[in-house]
Amino acid sequence: MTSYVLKRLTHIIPVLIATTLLVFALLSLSPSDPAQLILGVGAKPEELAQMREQLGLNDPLLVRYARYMGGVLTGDFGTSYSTKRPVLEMIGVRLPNTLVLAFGSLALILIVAIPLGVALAVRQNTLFDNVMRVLTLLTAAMPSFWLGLMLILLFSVKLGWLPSSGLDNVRAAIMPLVCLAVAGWTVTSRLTRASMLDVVRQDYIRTARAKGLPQGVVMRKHALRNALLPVVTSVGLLVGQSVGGAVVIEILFGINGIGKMMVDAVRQQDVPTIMGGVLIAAVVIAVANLLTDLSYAVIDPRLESMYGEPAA
Amino acid sequence: MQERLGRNPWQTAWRRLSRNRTAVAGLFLLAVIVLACFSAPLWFDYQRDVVGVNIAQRLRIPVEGKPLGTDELGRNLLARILWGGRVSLTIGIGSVVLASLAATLIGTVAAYYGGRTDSLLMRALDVLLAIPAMLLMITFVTIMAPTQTNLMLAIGLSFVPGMARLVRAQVLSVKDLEYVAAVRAQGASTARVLVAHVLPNAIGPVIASFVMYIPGGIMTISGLGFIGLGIQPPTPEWGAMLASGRAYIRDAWHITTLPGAAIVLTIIALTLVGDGLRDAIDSRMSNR
Repeated sequence: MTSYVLKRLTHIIPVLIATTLLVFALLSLSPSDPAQLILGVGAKPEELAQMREQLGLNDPLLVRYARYMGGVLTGDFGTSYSTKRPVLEMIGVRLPNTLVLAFGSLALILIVAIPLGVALAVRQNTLFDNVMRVLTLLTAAMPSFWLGLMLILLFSVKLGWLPSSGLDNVRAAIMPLVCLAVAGWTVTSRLTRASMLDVVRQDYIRTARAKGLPQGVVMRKHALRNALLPVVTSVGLLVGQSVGGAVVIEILFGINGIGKMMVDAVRQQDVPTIMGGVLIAAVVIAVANLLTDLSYAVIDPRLESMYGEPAA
Repeated sequence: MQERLGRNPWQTAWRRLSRNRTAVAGLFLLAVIVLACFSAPLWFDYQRDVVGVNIAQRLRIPVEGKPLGTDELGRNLLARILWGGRVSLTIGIGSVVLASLAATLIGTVAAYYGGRTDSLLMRALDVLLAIPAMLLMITFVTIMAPTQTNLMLAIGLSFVPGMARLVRAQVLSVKDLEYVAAVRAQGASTARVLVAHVLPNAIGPVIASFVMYIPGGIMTISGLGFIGLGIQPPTPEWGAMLASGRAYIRDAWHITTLPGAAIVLTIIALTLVGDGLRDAIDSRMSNR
């Protein structure tokens, strides 16, 4: 087990380095001059040149990247060009909201989609299955922000049941989380359905039935546990989608999160803030992927024996 | 049966598609949307109807001669939705066309040459895949102006890793077949083997998958428009129209509802066509 964890951990690091280097290199192509952004339009050419030297902008790309990552490791994410505050502090204020959105919606996806997928598999080709297929087509075609607008129109404007912005309490969180979860519901319930249909045709399920176990026990203990493996594998992907999708939802519901911070930063050409946002998102996704892999090992004991201590 | 043998596989696929009622309905809906959007200049004048401000008539529905009402600046909403559709469809389809060309090249080279070339190309694409598309888009619009061409390129780039994997898997399954060895033994060049013999057989099954990326492209461009980083006003774009309608949601339901309905209809049409295409081509493959 330990060697499996270590193996996964060492996989994360190259991915993080590659993604951050790519984004760092792309952002360095930004047409705006950071010195100008910091000093304003009135700055003299000598002052600008001095500022560029001070920021180390004249160094080669890899040197700047290494310096940036060195800073990150000591908790220095740079200073925002527009707010003049440390980027880490800005992230610290906003990260909790984004995490609530990303992992809250993930939980909502799994809680709804897995039982739904099982129900769809059990009732394959019934009216329920077909109605859900149409519903899936419809929800898959809805952009999350439009669904959000429609929910606001209904539950905030017409009925006055839910607040139309913020993330301060459970009632305020309902609509943002549902909007983020909808895309995952369709994908995960279809995946669970397909995986269940695949598993229930296996011999060991027939054996379980043949020895007289009740249908519910066969489904829960024998079929579902194996059918969930592909679903668990997809969780890492879902987290990535939630982190990306949170950007739009934060703007729609006026939630002060990492996504909104980055969108504001784009308008100001505030490169350190954008870089910090991408870095944090990459770390969150990498950690989620790691946890997914680890839970995979718990669910599927075969993996443990593959990486465990040799028996003899 | 005798008759069917005379038909080439694409004709068979087309026949299957035209027998699939939901696919035909999707194709019809898509044709109506595309025709309506691209014929918009015939019915509306860009300066007068699409960007011309008329404050006296703002936020009304219905208005005489403007069946979908007016937006927050009194502009004709129908004209703006149709015009916005040109942007969404062009970027959605354009990004997929560009991405499929790049992905076909990369996927084929990776699969055919294998070894170090393969792992290098695939690792590079994995890096792109590790960044959520929306964050990649944010990075791109920081460094370049959000013009139609730039956004098309950026969205297309985000599709390349997934598409290249599909092509790679297909080419891998074809390249070691006997007929390929036969063509090579006859002395055909690598380029000829790939273009004339491997690709035609490898690409068929993935074309339907490529079509499935178009809805994603339309979602992305409207999402970018919604957060204000897509096509810039006054050019109409569905996502941006929804964003500006957000402020008037209490007074005018139609400007937040109708542009979104246009997105949903377009994506449903594309999904039905894509599903039908996949079924048609798949059964062509299994029927050989």
